[in-house]
Amino acid sequence: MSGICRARLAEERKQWRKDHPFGFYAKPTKAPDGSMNLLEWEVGIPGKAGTPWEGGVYKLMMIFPEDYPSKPPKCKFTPPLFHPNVYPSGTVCLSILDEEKSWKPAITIKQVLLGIQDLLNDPNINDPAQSDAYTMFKNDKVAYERRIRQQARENIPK
Amino acid sequence: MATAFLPVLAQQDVDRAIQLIQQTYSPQQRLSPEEQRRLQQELFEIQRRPEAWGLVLPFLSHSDPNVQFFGAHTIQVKITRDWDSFPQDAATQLRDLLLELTGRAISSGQSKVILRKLFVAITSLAIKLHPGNPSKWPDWLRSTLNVFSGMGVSREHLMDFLSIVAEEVESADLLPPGKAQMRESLAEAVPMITQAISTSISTPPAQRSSQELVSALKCLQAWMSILPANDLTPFVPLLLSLMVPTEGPSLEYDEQAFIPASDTLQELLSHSALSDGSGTKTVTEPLLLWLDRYGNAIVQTTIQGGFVDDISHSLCKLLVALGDHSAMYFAKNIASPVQVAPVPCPFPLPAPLPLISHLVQNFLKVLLQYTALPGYYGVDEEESEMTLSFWYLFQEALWNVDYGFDVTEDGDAGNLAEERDRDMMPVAKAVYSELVTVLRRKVVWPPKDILNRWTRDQRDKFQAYRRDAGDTLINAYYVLRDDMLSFYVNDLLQRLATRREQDGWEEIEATLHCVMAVQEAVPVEDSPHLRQIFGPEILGKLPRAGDDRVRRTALHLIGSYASWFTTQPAQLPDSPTPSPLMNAISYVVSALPDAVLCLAAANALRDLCDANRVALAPHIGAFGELHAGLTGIPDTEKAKVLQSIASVIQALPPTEEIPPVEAIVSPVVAKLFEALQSAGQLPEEAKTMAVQQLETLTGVARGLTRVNDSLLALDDSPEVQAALEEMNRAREDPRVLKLREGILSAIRGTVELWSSDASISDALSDLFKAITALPSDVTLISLPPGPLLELVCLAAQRQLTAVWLSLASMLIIQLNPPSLIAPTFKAEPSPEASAVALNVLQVLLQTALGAFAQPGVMVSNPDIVQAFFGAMEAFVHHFLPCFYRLPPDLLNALIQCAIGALSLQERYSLTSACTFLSSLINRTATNDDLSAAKTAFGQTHGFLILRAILFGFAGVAPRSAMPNLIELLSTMITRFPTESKKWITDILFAEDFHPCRATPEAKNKFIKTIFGSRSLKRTRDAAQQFTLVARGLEGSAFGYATVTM
Repeated sequence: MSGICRARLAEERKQWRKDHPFGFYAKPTKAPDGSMNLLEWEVGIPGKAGTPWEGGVYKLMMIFPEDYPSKPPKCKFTPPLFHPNVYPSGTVCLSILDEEKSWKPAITIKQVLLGIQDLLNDPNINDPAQSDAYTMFKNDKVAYERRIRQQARENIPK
Repeated sequence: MATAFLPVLAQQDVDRAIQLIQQTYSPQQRLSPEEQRRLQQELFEIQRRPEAWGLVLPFLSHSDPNVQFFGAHTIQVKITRDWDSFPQDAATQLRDLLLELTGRAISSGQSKVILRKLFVAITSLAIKLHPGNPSKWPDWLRSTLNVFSGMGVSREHLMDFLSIVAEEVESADLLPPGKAQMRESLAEAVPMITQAISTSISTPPAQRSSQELVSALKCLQAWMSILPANDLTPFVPLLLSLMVPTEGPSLEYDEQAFIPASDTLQELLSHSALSDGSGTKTVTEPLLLWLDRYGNAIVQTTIQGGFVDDISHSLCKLLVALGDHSAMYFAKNIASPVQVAPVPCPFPLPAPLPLISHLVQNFLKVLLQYTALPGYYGVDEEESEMTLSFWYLFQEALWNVDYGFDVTEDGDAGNLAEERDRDMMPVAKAVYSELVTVLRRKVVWPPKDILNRWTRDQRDKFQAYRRDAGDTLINAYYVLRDDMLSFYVNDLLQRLATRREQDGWEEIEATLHCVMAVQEAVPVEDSPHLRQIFGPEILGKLPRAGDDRVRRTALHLIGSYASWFTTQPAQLPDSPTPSPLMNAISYVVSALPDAVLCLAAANALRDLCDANRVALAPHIGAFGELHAGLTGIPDTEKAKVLQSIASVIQALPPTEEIPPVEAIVSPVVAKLFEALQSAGQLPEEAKTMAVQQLETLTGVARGLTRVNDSLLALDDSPEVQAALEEMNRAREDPRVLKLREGILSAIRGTVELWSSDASISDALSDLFKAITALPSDVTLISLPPGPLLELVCLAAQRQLTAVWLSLASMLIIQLNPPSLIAPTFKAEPSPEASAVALNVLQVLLQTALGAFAQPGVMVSNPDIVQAFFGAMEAFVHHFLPCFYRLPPDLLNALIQCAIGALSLQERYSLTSACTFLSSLINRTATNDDLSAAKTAFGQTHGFLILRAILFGFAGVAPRSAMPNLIELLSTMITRFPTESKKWITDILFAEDFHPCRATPEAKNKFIKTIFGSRSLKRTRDAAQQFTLVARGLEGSAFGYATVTM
């Protein structure tokens, strides 16, 4: 890991510790011996109140490349999420996470996570990443919302 | 005052502006928001006019403070925003006027809000005048201070001004040279500033106003990131002197001094040249000595009084900042045998000086007392959560520190590992043991009567706190390991032993929560402590009725440790003592019928059964009973229970799987038929019932699928082959054949009746994915792809969606599976499979191309376009010859559609069309049997494909799709080199080429480069460069030659 990458991730962690939005969590993963892996974070994104996503906290892995922050982290819901802009693998399709589109090295982890939280209830119709959720979202909003509520129920935090 | 240089505004405009301000901001006015907005807008319009400089004087001399404020605001805004319209030769006069106005405003005692605006205006003016060579205001800071001093301005106001200076310069939007020049002017002033602040701090309290001290400390905070380390260190004892109590019968702190001093130290620890662990001798150790003398008493007062006062709250924040700053120092010195060196301190130091380890341990002790504050977080106290982050930071520091003291320090040779184990870890363990005890108490929910009084927010906050405390415990686990589990086990045993009937379960629930929280760190290996937890002494004593919270936590706990049970020997069916696994299963099953616990129970059961298939298989009889007793369980969770049972069945030999699979699947299929039949009378109920049955079948199909199948697929060992053959034999059993026939026929009925319903189609999609498989993963109920493809075609014809097209892609791959016998050698698909594929291809083409022919359909359905080309791609890879057996018109229509898609703005559609065309061309060209087809393809479509690509480069396609178009271009020039060169030349130089900025030279150079090189990289660079040129985006840094050479 380059010095820039490590320093930036350490700083991100510090900022997160000082100030993070309520209901979210974000922490680097640990090896069995207790040492930390700064390149892989486990995070939780709560669904917004007043939306069918409410009540759920959705687990996501952030995988940072060696050349972060020149390149964006890969964000992957585990297990994969039923959402029009989430690939069947769980990877999130979002312009601020796309090097070819709107990624900028100044974007913070907090901004990424808030961006993903916004995306949950406000999918982008230009990015069909999985056919199941996209089709349902497009064709039957009532059935879609029911399905999202069911998913929220499965993701109630322990 | 010379003011003639300022533009003058007509008196009536000034009056109108004053009137607007008074209307807008007077508290007597009750304006509607719209009215207020309108008035503000009018005011801004006046302020925006070039002659609005003329408002400054009349406003500032008005008697209404609101108007005065607007005067200060106007001059600041005009300097920042409308500077270019100001006559530059009058800049000096403006500067002098501004300084004089400000000085007068200060001496006439105007409010700080107005002064603040004027200070910002001065700094903004300096930012305009100072940078440059020669500077138009070289000594701006010193001269301003001189002017103010000459006017008798107090130190308090000078400090306020200096704070604004630092803030404004740091946040100014300046080009780097200008910024550097401004910073330099601040750096030059540092000695003067530090002198002024020190004087204010050291002045005896009786001789200075408390306001002056606050201003001085705010000023120091604002300059914190500018001051060099050497200038910061003298402030540490000065700041500590403000935090020393008056000695007497009781210690009294001056809150007005203590809190701003503590804030300033926090700033120094986190945002200065001394942040991030620097200056341990000059910052950390003096703070530790102060803490050693005074800290305990403050925290004791808090604990005794049951109330965190402002001093105590400020101390907690300071400790957290110090922990953040010095975690590594604490880790290194937790057992340091060295005496602290004497440092200048404003309070008496103990004699002899204490050991560093004593100071560090005292810090840990005081911080831990804040972690352990009495009461509930979020209700009784707000501080404990702040401290949690230190405990994981400290664990990480303990893991990363370079251990070992110098020989001179502790007299031994400094063996790192030895010192870590001998000296440090025992102390660290003692600290973390204490933390674990404390956090267990802190996560206990209150009894019901208290909890009922909590608001929703308080509950949510406490819930989030429990999660964060759980994360902290994970760090403690790495320090304590087994000792931690042992602590929890003893705690549980003792509480269960002394529990009275009427007692609540909150304490026990909290301990279980802690054990659950550390699960991710606990290794999957046998553990006597976990055996106890899941044995009769603990799990066996937990309630099985009522008391939802403790039961839900127990269920979550079991689910989290599902894979740990694999470390235990399987229990034989006739053994008298149940194994931990069977205890857990029994506990979970008992919660299934309870509506509020069913979800947690079903999830735990699914995780347990999935992880422990082999150990549970001998108990299949018991699962049969569970299945028979499922009536009380809501349908939503039934699917999970059946999936659990199915995963246990999977561990049986295939022939033994048959009766239980039949037993669980047949009723579901029957119910699905029932739903189909009742659709006429109660369509909605029938549909809901059908969805549930489809979900249940999906669960069963998933349960029956082996885990780790990817390994199996690669394994051609005789055992694996034998197992597969056995499975295939069992699949031929008449009972199984009949069962699969039933499933397929129920699915067919569902597709025929409801394929266009969103929920049904979603449920079918999940089922198709779960119930089909490659031959290595086949289960008893796996269905063949052919009949399902037929259903997919039917559904797609009715309603073309991405769901059906994606399923078609998946099934097409399964129609031509990798051979089991020789996996390395890809067999040709059978003629039957090819016939099915050709038929499916035709249906999908007719359906999709018909839909796409309607105007706007491709644009508004990027999902369908993408899924369609994805399906075509699957055909290319598995049934390539089918394309050339299509009626020629249909193939041509497909290629034309793909060419059309190359000009779509939706990136997904465009890239999927590109990928399809590239694959089709490459695969056709490399297939010896298709050489005639390749030539014909080139003649019919080559020119048009290249034309679409080049139009795309020239501006038709979005730039983000360039890599895909370049890939396709590269395919074309590799597969059709001679023709491509001619076609590209014809296209680029044709009259009707897409209007763009590329000159004939640029076009020629492009052609020459791509045909001169043959390397993909060269082609890529040339195409990218051509795109920039054609779109007029070529910057000076991207010369054509530099990219292509």
